[in-house]
Amino acid sequence: MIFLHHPESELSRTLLAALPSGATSLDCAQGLPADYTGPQPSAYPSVIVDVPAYAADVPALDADGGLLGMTKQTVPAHQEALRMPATWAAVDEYVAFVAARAAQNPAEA
Amino acid sequence: MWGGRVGGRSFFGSGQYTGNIMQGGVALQPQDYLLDGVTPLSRCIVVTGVATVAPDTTTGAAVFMAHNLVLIGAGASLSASTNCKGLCGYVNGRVALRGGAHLHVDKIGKAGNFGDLSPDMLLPAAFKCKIAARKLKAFVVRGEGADGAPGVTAQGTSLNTAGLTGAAAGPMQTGGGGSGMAGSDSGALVKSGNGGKGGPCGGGAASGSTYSTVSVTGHSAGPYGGPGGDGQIAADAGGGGDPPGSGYNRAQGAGGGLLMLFARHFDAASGCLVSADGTNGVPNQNDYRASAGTGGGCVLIATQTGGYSNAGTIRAAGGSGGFASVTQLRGGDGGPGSVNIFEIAA
Repeated sequence: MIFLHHPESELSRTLLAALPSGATSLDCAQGLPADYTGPQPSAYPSVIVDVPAYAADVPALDADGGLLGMTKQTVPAHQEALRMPATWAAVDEYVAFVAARAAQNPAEA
Repeated sequence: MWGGRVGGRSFFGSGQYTGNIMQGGVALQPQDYLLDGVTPLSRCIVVTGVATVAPDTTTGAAVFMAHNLVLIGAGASLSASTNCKGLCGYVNGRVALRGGAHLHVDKIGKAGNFGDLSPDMLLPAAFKCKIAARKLKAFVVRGEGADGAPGVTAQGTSLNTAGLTGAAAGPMQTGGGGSGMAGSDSGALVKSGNGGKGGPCGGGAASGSTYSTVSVTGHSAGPYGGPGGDGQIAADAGGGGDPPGSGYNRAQGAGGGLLMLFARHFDAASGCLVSADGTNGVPNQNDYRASAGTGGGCVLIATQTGGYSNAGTIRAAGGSGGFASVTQLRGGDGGPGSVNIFEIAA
């Protein structure tokens, strides 16, 4: 988990003071660090979380776009930027949600 | 830049000058004020409600001067009255925010390729004898904002793709606009338009949502803060910008604007907010698709050395993309703008 911190935000200062162990913070006072390669945030603070792969239901189509039914499509593991989460508990809640989604709809090998 | 030259006759209350801070239809008058019950502030403008400053007709920026300025209470806000090149404040003494007050240029950025911009270029003629304009040239806002997000593609039947987030701003720059969702039916190859690049006076405009049964690319947002991208069909939401794109339930607002504040002392209490936020995207009529958010603006606060204190929040957030409840997908967010704090020798 990566915490994109901006020192001029009161929320950011509050979250930084309670930064969970295992999370790292990046100071974004001058914008995103040049070596940052994660997903684009839209506001500071943001928390970058890992989203495990899962299977999603999507329409199956023929060559003309006709609907053949539904099929499973794997959404690969990726990272998301959670925008201005009110608390670390809110971050934990989202992480638990995506973990449960992956467990209930496992990606096909 | 203060140079002792701001201490002369006040423009406030003249009834002529457009830089009056208007609250409830009345130009606020300077008064003696005791900040926090302990700090006397002479000739202070005290904002307690919704207050605005009209843009100067020549420079296009909303500019005000004050000896001291206090915004107090959760109902207190100060902004420009309409989309403009920036809200610029020159305060000889102290700016103080208390009790959840809000100083902002949210959603009121101005579209335009004005090039690199320094605050002296926004000074009304009446102020040029009061401000050491030469010293303002050091504070240059970049004419090129961050890039807008590329459009996204969808091809299938009742298939939608979420938009992307605009790029984040670097120092003295505004954020890029987000891209709207794409929706395809009948196997059409559909691409939403690109979000717009930010400008010096407004975050990037957002593209609208695009839906089609034939292959098409949606309308991109304009560069330098606007206009927003149109929704591809009448029921699709247009993106924010200056002006917003057309479409049902279009986003109501532009990118975050430019806010420049020069004061010897700046002091914001916890819960107070200085912001240049972008406009949020909106869902379309049936909540299948949604437009994107516009980019955040640019905030600059300059004080004398040791004169800056912020227990609240200074931010330039990109607008969040609209959420389409049926598809559970979003338009892209606008990219964050920049917050720039300078403490300089008086």
